[in-house]
Amino acid sequence: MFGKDDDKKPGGVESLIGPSVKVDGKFFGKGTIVVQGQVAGTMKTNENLQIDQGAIVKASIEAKNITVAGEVQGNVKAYERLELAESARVTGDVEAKTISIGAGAVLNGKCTMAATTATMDREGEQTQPQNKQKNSRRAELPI
Amino acid sequence: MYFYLYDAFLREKKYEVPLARIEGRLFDLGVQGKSEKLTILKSMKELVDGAVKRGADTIVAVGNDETLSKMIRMVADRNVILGYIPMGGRSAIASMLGIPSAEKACDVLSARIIERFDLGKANDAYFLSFLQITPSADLLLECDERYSVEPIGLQGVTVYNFGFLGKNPRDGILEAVVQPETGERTSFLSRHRQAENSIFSVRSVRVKNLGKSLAAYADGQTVVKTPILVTAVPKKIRMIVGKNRQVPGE
Repeated sequence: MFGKDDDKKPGGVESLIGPSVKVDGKFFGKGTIVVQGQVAGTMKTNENLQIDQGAIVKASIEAKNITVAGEVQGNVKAYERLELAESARVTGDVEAKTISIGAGAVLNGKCTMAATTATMDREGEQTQPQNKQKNSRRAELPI
Repeated sequence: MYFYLYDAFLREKKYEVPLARIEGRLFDLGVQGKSEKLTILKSMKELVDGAVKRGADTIVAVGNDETLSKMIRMVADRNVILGYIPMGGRSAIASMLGIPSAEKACDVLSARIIERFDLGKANDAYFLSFLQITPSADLLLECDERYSVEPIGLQGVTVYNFGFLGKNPRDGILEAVVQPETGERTSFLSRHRQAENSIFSVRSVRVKNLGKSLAAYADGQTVVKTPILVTAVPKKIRMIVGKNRQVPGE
């Protein structure tokens, strides 16, 4: 029961919020977070954040790379890349260095392209200044 | 000084020969010491207290994972090193520690490779491997005093310190796994592979429920009832491990 193959978390994921739980509060991580259920509050991680189809996130979120295939109500900030899949529905302002929006994705909010870097300690405090070099490219997409 | 504590089940006749071999091997390796057998008249606490008073600095559990788990609860707050000679079938904890069974475990004791491990603490009870809480439809988890997790429907919770999901027992972190109860007859492992499971890395988690108190099993034994505060206690215990112990996550 403790065999080698069983000693692995799925895909190196630090936290997995499954479809049958609701999370409320300040959710801070250092590794990859996958959301399939419901989250309210704040979410931050230094690594990747993946919001799967069917997930409902009513929170402001920050991560290195963010992929959204579910629903987000709140501001979204990706230090590197933000990807909105075809099934994504985002209500809130988004900010990232690189943004990819799939056909059919819904985005209601301001879209800012900025050179954004930040890291956090485990307490969720930012340890490096964000927006090191604010890029002048600022796009507002009335979608 | 070594102190060997034999579990009561080793009084069975079938263990006479293996135990004699173990004692011979311990003598050959120069790691023999005083030994005692658990009986209904001699509790583990009484025997461990006595051994520590007499100057034992290495206490060895001879038995199965249940024996070791009980021993961990006895020695966690003492300045001793814990050894393990697994007997009586396959031992999940021995595998994790890289300790072979019976006679071969004596060589591990003799090599004396010592590692410090985190322990989990459920209210006042320590555990090495995991704490399993009886499934319920009204559980609530408060994680790191920052966020709450409300499982929807009938779900169970297992908090791991060691042994599952690539868990490193030296990182000061516990992993709380919330798993839905489907009602199907499934193995323990397959339940943990279900797609609907949730995993949270935490330093502490308070588990409570609205209804009647639920039992929680630390390393497979009942120790506490809800509400339960489960915390990681970093580098709490020193244990003798095998040289081939695989270190997950490192």
